[in-house]
Amino acid sequence: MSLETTVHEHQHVETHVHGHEHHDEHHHKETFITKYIFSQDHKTISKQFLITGIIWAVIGGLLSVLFRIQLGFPDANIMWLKPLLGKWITAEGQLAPEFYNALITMHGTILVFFVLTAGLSGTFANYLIPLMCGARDMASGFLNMLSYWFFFLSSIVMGISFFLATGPASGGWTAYPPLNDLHQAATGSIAGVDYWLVSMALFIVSVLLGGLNYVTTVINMRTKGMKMFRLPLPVWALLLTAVIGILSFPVLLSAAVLMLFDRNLDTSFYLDQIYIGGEALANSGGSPILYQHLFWFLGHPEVYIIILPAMGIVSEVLAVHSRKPIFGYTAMIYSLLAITVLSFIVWAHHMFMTGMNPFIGSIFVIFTLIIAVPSAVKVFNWITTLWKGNIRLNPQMLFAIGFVSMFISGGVTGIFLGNSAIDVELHDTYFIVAHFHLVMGVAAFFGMFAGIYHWFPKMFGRFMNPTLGFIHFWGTIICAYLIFFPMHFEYMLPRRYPTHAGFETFGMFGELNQFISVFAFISFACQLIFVFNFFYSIWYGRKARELNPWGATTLEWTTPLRPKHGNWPGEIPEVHRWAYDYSKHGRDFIPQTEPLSQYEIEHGEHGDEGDSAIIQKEKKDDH
Amino acid sequence: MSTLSPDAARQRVWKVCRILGYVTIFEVAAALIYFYFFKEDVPKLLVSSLFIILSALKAYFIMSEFMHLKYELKAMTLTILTPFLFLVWGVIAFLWEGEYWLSLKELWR
Amino acid sequence: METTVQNAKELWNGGDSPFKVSYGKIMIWYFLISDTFTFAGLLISYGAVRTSQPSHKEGDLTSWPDPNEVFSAGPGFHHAPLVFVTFMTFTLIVSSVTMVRAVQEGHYMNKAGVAKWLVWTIIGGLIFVLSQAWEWTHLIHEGMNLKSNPFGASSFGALFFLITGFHGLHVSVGVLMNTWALISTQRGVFHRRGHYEMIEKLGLYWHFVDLVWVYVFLAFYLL
Repeated sequence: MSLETTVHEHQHVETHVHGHEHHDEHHHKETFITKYIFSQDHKTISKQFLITGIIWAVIGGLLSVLFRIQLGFPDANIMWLKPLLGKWITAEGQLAPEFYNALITMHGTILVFFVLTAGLSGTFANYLIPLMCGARDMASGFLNMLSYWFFFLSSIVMGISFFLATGPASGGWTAYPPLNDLHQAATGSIAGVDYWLVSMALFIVSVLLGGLNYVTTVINMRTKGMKMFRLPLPVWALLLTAVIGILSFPVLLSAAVLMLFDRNLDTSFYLDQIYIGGEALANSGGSPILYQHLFWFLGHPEVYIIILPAMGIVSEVLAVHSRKPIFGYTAMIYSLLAITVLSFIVWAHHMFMTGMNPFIGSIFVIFTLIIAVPSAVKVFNWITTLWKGNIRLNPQMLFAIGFVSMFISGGVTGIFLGNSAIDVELHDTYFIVAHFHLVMGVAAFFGMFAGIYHWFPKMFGRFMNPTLGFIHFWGTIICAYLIFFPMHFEYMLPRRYPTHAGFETFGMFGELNQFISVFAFISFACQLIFVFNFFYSIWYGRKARELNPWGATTLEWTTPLRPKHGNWPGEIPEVHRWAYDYSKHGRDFIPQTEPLSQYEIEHGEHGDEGDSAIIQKEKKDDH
Repeated sequence: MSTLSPDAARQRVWKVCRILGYVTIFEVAAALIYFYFFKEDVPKLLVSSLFIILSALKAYFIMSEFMHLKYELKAMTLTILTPFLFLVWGVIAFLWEGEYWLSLKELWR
Repeated sequence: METTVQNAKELWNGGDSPFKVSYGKIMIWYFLISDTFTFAGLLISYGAVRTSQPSHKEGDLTSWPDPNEVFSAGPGFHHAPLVFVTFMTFTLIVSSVTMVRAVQEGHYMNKAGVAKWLVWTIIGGLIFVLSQAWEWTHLIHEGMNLKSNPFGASSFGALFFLITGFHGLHVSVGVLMNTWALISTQRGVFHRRGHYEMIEKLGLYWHFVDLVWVYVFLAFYLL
């Protein structure tokens, strides 16, 4: 094992953990494989997550382009897609309806899990936690490495399912039974769903391995002086994200196991009194609603797993680029905690229309409305952080502000949907699609973009091109609003229909759908600008020449320009203050590593502990 | 870490072993007595509650003594025990829903 | 007392473990919490499915079976409700105790003691797995499978085999890991390392398996 682990184990015997002060960088020999492929360095692993996430994002976005072609132009002849889609384009040049279902299913699965969970958490938790805590690496580099490779395996399995003769899973990203439970119920359910379930199981292992590392590192490996309430907000957010993941993903594993049994071993966990093709099946005793409960027990915390890291990143970026401390740091932490706790008790608000016990439904309504409160506190704090700030409008700042905008826009419709009575009308319509894309899809992406633009110089030693960044931002935000805002008007249009043509009731939306589709295509093109910018800048971007280009207070900017394994060449710095001393005492910023000066009181301290040296001396002299 | 001497620690472990044994025997005895004598007259809920409480007791002993939680710092114990609270609502909701499905089945029989 | 409180707070100041515990032990604990939630997912599913079926009624094969009627046999005997499973429960409890003894011996760097108690733990685990296998074979012979059973509601079999199977898988993995630990102990791996913390970590896993059994026993054999 590496030198680090041995040092850890000896530390235990002495019953207290030293920081890693006594050895600097490693001198073990690294091959290409151990350095870049099976790397145990958190920085490399984070880049692996990021690049895999970007690749999946392009694929997921492409899928949405394909189904928006169908939705916007249902009568168009798309024979030109035959080289790509093969038999999924019919002889008449139309998209096969069962493939439309596969497109939306895979779009959701890929974006929710592979991009916004692995790509967002995996990247930033791995990159930021050790650096911001002042640790040389994650607690277990080995498990961390496994976490990425399980994600990779999971990606392979999911990717293979695209090439199955009967197609990938097509019963919705939520994989509800009985559609997904019976082989004969849908084309994708013949084989695709089994691959989906196995891929998810591998993915869950990846999330668990990662999460255990993140939590343990934040608890045990903060450097001297890095109290919990001196940690920058991204670390808090990523810590709580990991906690949520550790507790909620296992229940999805149970749900998946039960479904694999139903599909392949003829059990009836989710099936009862079921007819298919006119014939009654023998299965009895189960309930499809059981799956929904299990799924959403993960599914709801999952959306917080997606949004919390983005919230943490945005808090950081807003503070740094308005040269102001984040407003209400403590309240931000307590809000994160409240969201974490509440996220576990609201899951059935996704199930108001299942016919579940209405009284139990009302309990879920109450908790759902309560969870809006800490989110609102955070929104208020972000806006107040900006107020009278010395704002630098670079791409990351624009995306951070854009995040707040998206989160508010999508969040307010959540209040409607949290009420089961209104949900009767709105469930399974495009109102929901608009809601979650704004509040979770676009917002989380904005947080991710803000993080990438902001930490790119640290990760790669170069800057991304800001002009392309501005084009990317304005293109994306305008298109996102033009896509999803009008979608709210389609609140009676049912989801998951390949076409609404032929229904008189929905006939009025033909042009609106065209409009939305056109801006979806433009939006995808804007993302390609970002992808180009990202990869081009890794090799040809403007070189970063100073250690701390943004003038931030946090520890990651105290490492060398291209930090090696072990992060700090000498001793790990000690921390003496919180992460948000911007524009204090006439200074632009004060790094966390700088001790309090004689006259200073630490932020948040009252009373003797926080008294400056001079006051303490005076008090002592008075006695 | 444990504040007991090696001998005391050893004795404690076997003591807890005996406690767990007695509790299990008591549980099984209660189950069998109920099955043979009181099945017709006494509602199962009474015995079920007894079983649940006794199982919780066994869980307490296993976690606090065998897994050493009693001797760890309180903060760590709290981080381990708090997630179980989330399960409480989960259990209640799932049992409630199960009952509701039963009532629906009877309604539409 | 005050100094302990003060020190406990100071442990959070960074540069130390606030729980005074190595990262490996914290990881095992939180992994066990995640595994708890996996089992919990399965057990609450059992709860939902069971409460959605009529409770036991004599002669009604759509009602939930009475465990005292289903689990009344053992190797060489019949008509003795719950006896065999009680034996299995004791076996697992005792093997947990022997595991604690192994950990205790590890604290005093007593290599022979650790090995001895690990052997007992492994034996206990093996007896449990083999007993479970016997019970499964017996029930399958009686006609119980994933789709139906002669005792009552059809879901009973599927849930029983799934959950006891998942638990049995955990026990088997535990036996394998304990065997590996025994070999490593004999080879002096931990002695050279200076501590037997690995045994402690495996111990936590083993006690977790015992704990889950308490609830599986409750769910299927008592309630």
